[in-house]
Amino acid sequence: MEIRKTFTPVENDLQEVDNYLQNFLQKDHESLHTGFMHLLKAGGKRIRPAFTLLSAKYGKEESSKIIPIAAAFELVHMASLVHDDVIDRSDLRRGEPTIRALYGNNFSLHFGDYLLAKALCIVEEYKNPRINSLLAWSSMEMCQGEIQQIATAYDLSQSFKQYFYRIKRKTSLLITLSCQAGALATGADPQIVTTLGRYGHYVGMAFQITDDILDYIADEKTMGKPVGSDLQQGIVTLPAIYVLRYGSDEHKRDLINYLSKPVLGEDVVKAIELVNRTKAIDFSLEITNRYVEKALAQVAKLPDIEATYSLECLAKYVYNRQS
Amino acid sequence: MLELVIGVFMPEISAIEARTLKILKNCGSYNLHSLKFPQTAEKRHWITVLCLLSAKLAKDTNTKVIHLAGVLHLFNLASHLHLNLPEDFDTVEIQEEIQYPILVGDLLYSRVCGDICKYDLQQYLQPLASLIGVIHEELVLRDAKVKQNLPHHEHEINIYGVMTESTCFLGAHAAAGNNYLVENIRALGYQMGIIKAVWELNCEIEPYLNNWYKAWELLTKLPIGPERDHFQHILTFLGIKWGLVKPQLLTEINA
Repeated sequence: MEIRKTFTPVENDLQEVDNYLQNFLQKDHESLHTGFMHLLKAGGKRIRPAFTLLSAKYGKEESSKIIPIAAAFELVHMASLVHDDVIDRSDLRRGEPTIRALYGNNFSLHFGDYLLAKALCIVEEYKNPRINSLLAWSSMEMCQGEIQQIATAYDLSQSFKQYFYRIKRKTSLLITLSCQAGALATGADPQIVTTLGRYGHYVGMAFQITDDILDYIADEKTMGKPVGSDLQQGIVTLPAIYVLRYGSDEHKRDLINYLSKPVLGEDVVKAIELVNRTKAIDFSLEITNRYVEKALAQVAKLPDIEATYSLECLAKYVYNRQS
Repeated sequence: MLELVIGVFMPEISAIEARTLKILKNCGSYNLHSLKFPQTAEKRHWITVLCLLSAKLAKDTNTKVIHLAGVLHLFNLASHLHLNLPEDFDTVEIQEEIQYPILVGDLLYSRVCGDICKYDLQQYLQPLASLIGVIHEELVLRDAKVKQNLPHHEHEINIYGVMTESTCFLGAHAAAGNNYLVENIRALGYQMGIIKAVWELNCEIEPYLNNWYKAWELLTKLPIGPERDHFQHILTFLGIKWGLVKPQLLTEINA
């Protein structure tokens, strides 16, 4: 199932978000505008704005006023991707050259900061201290997650707990915030805000784990970037941690041999093949499934409206991504 | 230049530095000393000092002002980390020269927002967010000119101008709210930022003489007292580089 099909209750609003983004930065400097258009053209599922718009359906106020804040969360996400591509030295994202590849490190750095600044200005206009606090806190935690990821590159002693902690910060938090912000901005019941936050956390975790799985089983066309890119940067994800913990002695020894130095060329292929020969992918899928089930349990607590059905479909979509 | 003023605000600055160090150490496992933070007092404390001085001039420093000065200190450090990156990956230490500066800078910018929310300074979120945008837009324009081998210092000078202007305004506003004095302090901050930038970047002062005279003129509109003397001391110090002294102003001639 295509993900946009799950956004039916907010399809028009999502188009408004796209329009908002299209018109964004039009009056700004040409190079910034050109860079932004390139980012927009590269696509993106607009998951975070979709969550924001869906969560707004649970509030008491008109959900169309949420368009800017939904766009703001997409800008925050874009800013983090632009910086990530410099940090990871990535030349491709979603099948297109990255901003870094086109314009260099410094432009990417300043452009990412510029997008973040614009997003903050948009969010601030809502004069909602809780949303501001959550965004600030989420941003801090995201950065700490990334710092931790770099600090633990090639660290083969990472535990599952450390991995989950890292991906919570890296991915889940912004999705959690997206799921809460719409509801907060439209004055939803606090219990619903909490439930949506928990849903966002579980879906965010599942989303990142499937991303990590796809790095082992998908092809470059599906990923939009070279396969095994995590391995090449020494990022040890769930499938690899499984092998290092529960694999046979031979598998452990071979994987340690591949991962204890920068993984290049044929070693990437061999490491991926090794992981695929074990139960690591099945294990990771099982973990994903558990998070999806937890997300669905939260959905069951939400009012019976069309948005709830969308959230349910989204949770199931995350699990089915790898197929 | 700032020794006298730093002495006046030593307790506040020490507390801010201690807190900043704690924040940086809690960021994660990395080599703190590898990050290129400003080392000289002029660069490191320019923003903090001006915030506190502006507040004291407008009314007085208080807890809110000190928290704001701490926020601005983090802002200053984050902006320094994000000033420049190497373009060539092959000849650099990736972690120390690219990855950590980006991430710690991002973290500090986020921390700025977090502390604004934590210390009930949310009214200043929009101006600070706008300031981040202005700074990085200017840096994009600067880098474009550097690539074309065109003069580019005007953009860095502009950054100093708006940063100092914002700092002085926010410090004064946090102390005294909206009034004409706060606006005068803001205007003075802008001119001083320009002069400071010209001084820092070793540029010619001639194109900026108007800013120099304007700064002195604005100084005369401030209440007489030790705080105004400190601003005067800073301007006088900056002028030494170009052999400039306090100008005889129209107001003084008329008087």
